[in-house]
Amino acid sequence: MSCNDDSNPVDSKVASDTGVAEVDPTKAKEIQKFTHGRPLTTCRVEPSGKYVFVGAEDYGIYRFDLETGDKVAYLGHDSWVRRFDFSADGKTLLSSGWDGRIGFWDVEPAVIVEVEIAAAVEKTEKEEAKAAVIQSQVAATKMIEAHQGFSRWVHVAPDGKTIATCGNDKLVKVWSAKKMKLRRQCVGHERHPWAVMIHPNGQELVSEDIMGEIIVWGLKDGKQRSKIDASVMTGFDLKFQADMGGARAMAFNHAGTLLGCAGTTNVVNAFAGQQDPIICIIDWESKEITHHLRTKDNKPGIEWGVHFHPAGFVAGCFAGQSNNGTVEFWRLDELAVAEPEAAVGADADGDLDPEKSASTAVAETEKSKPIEQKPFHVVKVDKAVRGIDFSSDGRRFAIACADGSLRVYEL
Amino acid sequence: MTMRRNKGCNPIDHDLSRRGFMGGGLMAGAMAGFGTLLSPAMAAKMKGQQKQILQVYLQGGVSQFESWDPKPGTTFGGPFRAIPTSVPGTQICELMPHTAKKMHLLSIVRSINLRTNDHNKGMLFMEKGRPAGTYPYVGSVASKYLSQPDNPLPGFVHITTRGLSGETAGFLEAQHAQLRLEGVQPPQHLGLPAGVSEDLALRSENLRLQLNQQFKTGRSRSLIDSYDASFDQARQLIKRTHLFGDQDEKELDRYGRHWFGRRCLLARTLLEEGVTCVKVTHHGYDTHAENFNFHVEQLDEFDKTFATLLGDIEERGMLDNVLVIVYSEFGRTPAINHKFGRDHWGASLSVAMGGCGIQAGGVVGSTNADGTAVKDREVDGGHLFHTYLQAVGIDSQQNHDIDGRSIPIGDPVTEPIKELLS
Repeated sequence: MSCNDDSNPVDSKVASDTGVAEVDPTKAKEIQKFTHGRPLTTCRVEPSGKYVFVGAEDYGIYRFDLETGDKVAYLGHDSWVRRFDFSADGKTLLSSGWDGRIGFWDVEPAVIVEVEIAAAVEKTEKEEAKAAVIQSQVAATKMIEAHQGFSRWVHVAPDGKTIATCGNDKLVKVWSAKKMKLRRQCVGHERHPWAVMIHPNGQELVSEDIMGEIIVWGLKDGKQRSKIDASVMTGFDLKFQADMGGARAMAFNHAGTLLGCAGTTNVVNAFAGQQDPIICIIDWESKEITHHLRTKDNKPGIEWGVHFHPAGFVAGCFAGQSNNGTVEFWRLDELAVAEPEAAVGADADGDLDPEKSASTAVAETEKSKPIEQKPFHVVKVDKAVRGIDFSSDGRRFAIACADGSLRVYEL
Repeated sequence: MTMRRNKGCNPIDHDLSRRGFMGGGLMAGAMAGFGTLLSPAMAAKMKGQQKQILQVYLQGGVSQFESWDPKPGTTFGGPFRAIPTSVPGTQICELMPHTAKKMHLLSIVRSINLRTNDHNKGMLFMEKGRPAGTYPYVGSVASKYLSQPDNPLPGFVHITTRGLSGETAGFLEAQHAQLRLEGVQPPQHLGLPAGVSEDLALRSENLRLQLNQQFKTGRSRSLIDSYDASFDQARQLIKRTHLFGDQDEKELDRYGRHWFGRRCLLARTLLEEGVTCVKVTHHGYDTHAENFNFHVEQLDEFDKTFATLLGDIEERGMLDNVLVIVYSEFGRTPAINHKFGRDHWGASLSVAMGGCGIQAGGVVGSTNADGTAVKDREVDGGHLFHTYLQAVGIDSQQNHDIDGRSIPIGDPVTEPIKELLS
């Protein structure tokens, strides 16, 4: 797979349609920085590009106006929020909270109230407490009890008609977007699923749990279609005797030919954050992992984001063990085609096995050895990065950082 | 029920400086006369009461915020909520819903300050009741004073896979040291080596006994007998093959098929068999990274299994005689680091206990609003040690008699948490 020809699966048609094919990540520069008093957990750029929403290590969702810098608090969850999505018309923000609920919020609310709040809510650990601050607040239009246990993820289907959620009740749920009525419960994960995405074809959805088990479900019937082994993304910490892994972020490319799952691999001591970051790229047709996207320095940490850019690259964000971060950009190389004379059913002694065809051998080679891909460009960030999202036009991206900063970059 | 100390001067503040003066180690032996020696008659009485201890050790330092002292909605409270329990007015973290239903059997101490953030020091303080020095673990003390003389099984069994070990018996006889079981496997190295026949083993054993007799000449008989006793106890344990065979499938459904479930099921069996102190370690709480995800996973295992075990102990009528303790070597920092982790924190942590000798349904002490410090009724490992022993009928303010030397059983500068004792 290359990135700039007609067969490019990474959305080259979208790129030409939207005119962002020439966007160059190597020219990325920070243009704005906003701060919140608590570390951020995630961010999404609102479809019009006017606002960025962030989650934080408090119970609020915060909307930053990129023109004015004004901040509005969306309050209603009783826990942290780590995932947002938007309705198809872009007017409604959906949030999944660890309180098990899905929140619905107006992007442009009719009512914003000014409330005097205790300074402690807004101050950082190092700041002196101020007497009080005025906070602009918005209430949810609707809160749905979605999961027994935390709602880990919410995703609105590209056609806007269906919503998928998953939570610590080990369920993946499919809802009608119009009335948020539960349509289907997908049962099958033995451990907590952390992310779920509806395929652009509107026929399937896919979820990944902490053990790296990816399940493909039928959207219409909620039944399992197939499983994908992404156990490379999990590990049992022998010293501390616990599993850790799973998808910290998940995304399809526009055409639905590729799925990206961001997280960790090579767990050494997950309790100290000693594991490698990784984004697994899965070819949707074969359901095989074709690429392991690795960071340039391969320092320990977690990959918290994955985004397929219409200009033909993949972007991810990284939080390092040492509270540093990066935004990294990859192009997907073609899968290596094995040399027939070396691959055709050769056994340990080099003898040929006539039962194995060349194509079978190539397929096995592809299956067993995903391409280890290094980024073509890295943007260094002085703090751990916990979320990334691009504007609809693909020309800007925002990152959520562990120091409470929201940073906006232009490409 | 909430147990709260009268406000005012806290004698513990004075005690701590006194402790520093006294120093550690066997210097405490010089305190002879502080308490009286535990008389043989009293010791026999304690043994006759058949009191037992179940220790559930959450290795690595469970977060007090994510367990017994939740602070939802505060600066460092994290993402989890507090839930009501079977004790009106008492809330614990939502990660322990099954335990919440059993809280009427437990009490919580929320005001522990160990003054150390070191794994080993914290663990030893919690086990020995002293911040430093060579002293026996609570399990070894229980083994010495509570084990039935005719019980051939070890007095102190620790089911674990790994972790910090050490001389748990301190200056007590070796037979009171923990017998460590690797998970639910029988003790190692007690079976016959491959190729060794029963006959050869018998002759080998006879030779060992003969050599032992020679070795005893001019040496402390009690020391040799103690090692012999340890060996015999382990051998008696392994003879009970039913303990280590396949575990009941229905019970595993109840306890969980994970390692902790299997260990707790074995713990119940060992208690029923009469082992005086059974310690079960659940690993995986040293959460410098991913504190919240790890606590979701680890406490998900702990919660249902522990609640099942506690319920079984109660339903079988054992709870009046079994002291149940859930503890760690310290807690975790209020501050959440950039890895979504919490680091070591010994300044304000919690333990839960119940059963034998403990008033259930209480909360002792509290931390401040953000959980950064103990607010009232500050205690440490010394107070807990006294409390555990007093709960099972051992007067911890008396002395061990070790070859004529008097050594205080509990740290003389601390005292039991009296409001916890029933």
